[in-house]
Amino acid sequence: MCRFGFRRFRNRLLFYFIGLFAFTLTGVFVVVEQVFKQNTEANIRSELVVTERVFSQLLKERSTQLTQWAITLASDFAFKKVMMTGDPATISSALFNLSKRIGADAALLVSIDYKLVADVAHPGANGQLFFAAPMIKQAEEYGAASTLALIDQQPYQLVTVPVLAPDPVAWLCIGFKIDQALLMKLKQLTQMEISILSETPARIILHASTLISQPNPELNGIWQKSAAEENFFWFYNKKPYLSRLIVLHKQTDFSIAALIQRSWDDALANFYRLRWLLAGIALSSMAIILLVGAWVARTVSKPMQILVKGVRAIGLGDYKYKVNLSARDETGELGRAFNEMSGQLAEKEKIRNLLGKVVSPVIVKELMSREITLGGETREITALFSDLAGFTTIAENMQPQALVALLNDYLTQMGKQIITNNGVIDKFIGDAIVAFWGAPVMEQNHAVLALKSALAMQRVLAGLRTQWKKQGLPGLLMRIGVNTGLAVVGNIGSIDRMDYTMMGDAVNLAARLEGANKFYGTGILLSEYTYAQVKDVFLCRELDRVRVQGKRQPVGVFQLMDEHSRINSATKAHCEEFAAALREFRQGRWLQAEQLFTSILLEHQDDTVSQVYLVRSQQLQLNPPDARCDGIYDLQK
Amino acid sequence: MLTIRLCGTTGICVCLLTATANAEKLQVLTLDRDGNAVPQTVVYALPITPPFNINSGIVKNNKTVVDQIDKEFVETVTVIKPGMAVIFPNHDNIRHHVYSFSPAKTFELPLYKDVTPKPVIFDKVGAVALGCNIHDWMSAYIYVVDSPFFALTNSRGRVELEIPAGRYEIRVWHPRLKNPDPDKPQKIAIQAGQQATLEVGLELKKSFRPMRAPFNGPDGGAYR
Repeated sequence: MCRFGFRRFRNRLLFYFIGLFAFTLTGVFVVVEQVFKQNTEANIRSELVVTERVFSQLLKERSTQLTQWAITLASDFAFKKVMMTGDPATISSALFNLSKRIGADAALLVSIDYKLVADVAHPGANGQLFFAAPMIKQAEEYGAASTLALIDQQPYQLVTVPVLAPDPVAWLCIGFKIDQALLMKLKQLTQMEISILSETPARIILHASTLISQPNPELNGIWQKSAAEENFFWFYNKKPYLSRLIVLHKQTDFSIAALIQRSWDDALANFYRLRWLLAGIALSSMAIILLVGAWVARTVSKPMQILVKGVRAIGLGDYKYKVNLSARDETGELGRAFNEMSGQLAEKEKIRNLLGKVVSPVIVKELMSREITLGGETREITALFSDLAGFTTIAENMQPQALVALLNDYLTQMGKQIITNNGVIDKFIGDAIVAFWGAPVMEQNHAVLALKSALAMQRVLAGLRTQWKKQGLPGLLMRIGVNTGLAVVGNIGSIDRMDYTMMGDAVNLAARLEGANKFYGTGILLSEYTYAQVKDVFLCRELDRVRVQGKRQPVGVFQLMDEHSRINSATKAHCEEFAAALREFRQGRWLQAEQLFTSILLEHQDDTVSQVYLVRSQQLQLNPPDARCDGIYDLQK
Repeated sequence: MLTIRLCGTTGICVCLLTATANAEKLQVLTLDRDGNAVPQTVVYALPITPPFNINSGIVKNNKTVVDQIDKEFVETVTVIKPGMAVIFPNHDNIRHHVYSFSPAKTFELPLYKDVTPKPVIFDKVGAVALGCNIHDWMSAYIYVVDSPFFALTNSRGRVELEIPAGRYEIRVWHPRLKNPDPDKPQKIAIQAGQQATLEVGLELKKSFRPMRAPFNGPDGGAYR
């Protein structure tokens, strides 16, 4: 599955910025659109009502004006005189003349019993009952009246006034067409489209319109629509118009109505302009947000990059690395914290280096790796004790400075051999060195490594001795004791001051073996326990069986000769001869033993061990041991 | 007392009282539909029986005057007998133009001021509506009746006719009367020594009199 993610902080920031902005903007836009449309609709509805009033008022005022004109015409004395002649042709002609004075579209004269006396447009209709008799009846009541009527399928506004001589002798009717011109005038006033319709049971006729050009079949349902809803949407040329139908005149068989309409699109034109404006604002805002966001991201990501570089440097061990973030805000704070941290890390590293010099690096690593606690564990280890024979004597005759230099040189060289062979230096006690293998890091080969180290130490010391001799110093010999066994290893001491060290009989035995070198005149002694683990690698000769103080079990003591690979045949023969002599000695054949040891010493005068046994053989010949003697020597401190 | 009530022109109710004089008295009260008195109503009686010479009736003058003062006709309704002459003097310092297009008498006295035109003789029975060509609001009526027994109601709508005993058709006329020629004229018998009282209900229509300038009527209308 592929998960969406940002590889750059900047992109994430911009994504959220833009997203939030777009969300807000969309919300605003939706609300604005809603409110605008609602307002527009409400406005149009009220405008429709206003237009209805304006239209009604316009008709009323027109009617008032027409009435005034009609009264003026009806007062014409000459016309009255013509009327009294009773000559229809003359009356009609005079009527026509009157109507032209005011530009009327229709002029009729009706008798007081509602019969047509003259009709300019329809001379043949004389004597017929006037079609708008209800208007005359109204005029009888109010002095004048007006109505809407269809004359030759054209909507007319008709007014009637009495011809007074001085009592009413006839009714003068003047008519004006409700035509395109009137509607255009109204449109100019109200911004509304307006159409005049008439409805008969048979059909709907469109008489004049500012909008609708052709008789439209959809007009058929308009009366029903109007009945259902006061203001309704009506589509013309697929464009919506909020419409209102005003019935201007109603009779039983027909009615005349005005359809007033406002284009929905035109009304929303401002909104559409606003929409573009909003889009422009949105786009420019987004551009600004992009710039600001990029800048903000940069102010955040740049310190982060600096810090990443710093962290990498720290990771590589460059604790002196400092970042330069001088801002006074959180990033500056972070920079300062980083620098403090690197300072503390440098400090720690310093301590760690220092510790490595004071304590064995292996132990440092071990200590670092876990919580430091007092206590230890039992492990099989190989312990090594070394000491310089006669150092105390030369120390007394040397300047302290030179002594320290000498000792430091010696300890450095020895320590290097131990470290090289994965050993752990436990401590230096004057010229003495205590070391061990097999802890804290597990080491299977601990005995071999300890002996390799011992051999290397003796070799290096031989080189040092040559150096020292040149400086006029006495040749110093080194005694080494090695033992393998179980010991307790761990942090021993107080909670404030502790050593990683070892304790136990196995350790003590190694120390005893180091001292036992004096007795045998040897350089490296090891116990039978160590021997058991190294006999394949090193040639060792068994020297003795000794009893360590406080232990009943005797321990076999061996002298380390060298690695098998480096042993020559002479040494090998020497060892075998010694072994044969030791067998004789152990079987109590003291004389034969004496002869064999004497023989060895003839060839190897420096074999101090054989000397010890020669002396021991001779003494036993003089003072044979009692039956209880088991041939074990006690190993003293 | 017998009272005959004449409602509109369809019913009649005459109250006959004992009277000793030669000429009996007929009191008539004219009321409109709301019960208000209707002044200036012409009330006249046409004798049915016994036939007698109508010329023997009461004739006040042979010549009647309809005067014009301050752009108004002074006498709004004048009742005359056929053949009588009416003069239309002008007491204003402007000219007037009296005319009538009524079938009973069509005439014109074009623009005159100081010299009173020749009297106009009204020889046909009926109402003659008078107007002034240059003052639309000026209006008066000459009512020509073929009977000596006529009079106009006073401001309280009352009139008293002095007529000999006999049978009569009682007729009323008013400029605003809706139906001036009823199909069934109302008949009444006046007996000697009796006084009759007649109450006549009139159905009046609105009048469309041009208003005297300045116009101040409702809707700026030109009528009152």
